[in-house]
Amino acid sequence: MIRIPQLIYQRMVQHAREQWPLECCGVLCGKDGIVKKAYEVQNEEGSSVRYLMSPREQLKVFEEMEKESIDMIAIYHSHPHTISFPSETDVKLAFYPEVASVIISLKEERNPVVKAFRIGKEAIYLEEIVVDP
Amino acid sequence: MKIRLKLVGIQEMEQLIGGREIVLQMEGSTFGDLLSHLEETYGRPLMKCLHCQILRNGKEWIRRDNLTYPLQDGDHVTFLQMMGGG
Repeated sequence: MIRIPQLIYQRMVQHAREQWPLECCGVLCGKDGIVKKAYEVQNEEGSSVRYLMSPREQLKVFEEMEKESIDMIAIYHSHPHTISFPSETDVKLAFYPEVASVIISLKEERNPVVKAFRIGKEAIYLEEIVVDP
Repeated sequence: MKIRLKLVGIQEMEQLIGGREIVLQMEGSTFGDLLSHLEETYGRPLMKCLHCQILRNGKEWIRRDNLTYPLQDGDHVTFLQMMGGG
């Protein structure tokens, strides 16, 4: 289960909307499954069907996490035109199996759907998201 | 040439080289030479871990296939596990 403060959750959805029709991406960090901080990261692909985090920004995120003694809880990205479920590319490039993959679907513009998954080698598991007020 | 190699988020590779950061002494002066050095020193399994992005001195992005990319003595080369998808 991932617990996300409402403000961070809303900002993450807003990030996806701002980047539409391109995919957005970022990292959720915290402790023991509770998100404390979100990092918006540039999508180097500039694509509506792919994302690749800027390595410079990714390095900064890791350095800050180390400095603040927080862990990576999830990697998030948006699906501007498709449902909130890992794509083939998401599965192929799931190199962080210990963290959740949060997908924000903007397929229905007025009704963003946010889901979290754990992408294992043999299966994809749905993970509960709790939004804390 | 001396290179400081840092690994970020690549646990398999960390296990192979015995840590997140090492200083290595290598022959040659290119990124390709660095990869050859790593393969010679740690073997092929290490190369299989390299689904990653590479930065020189935390700023310059080295493409994985740019084997002629020049390196200099004292450079910091960071290998980051790729974060991407679709």
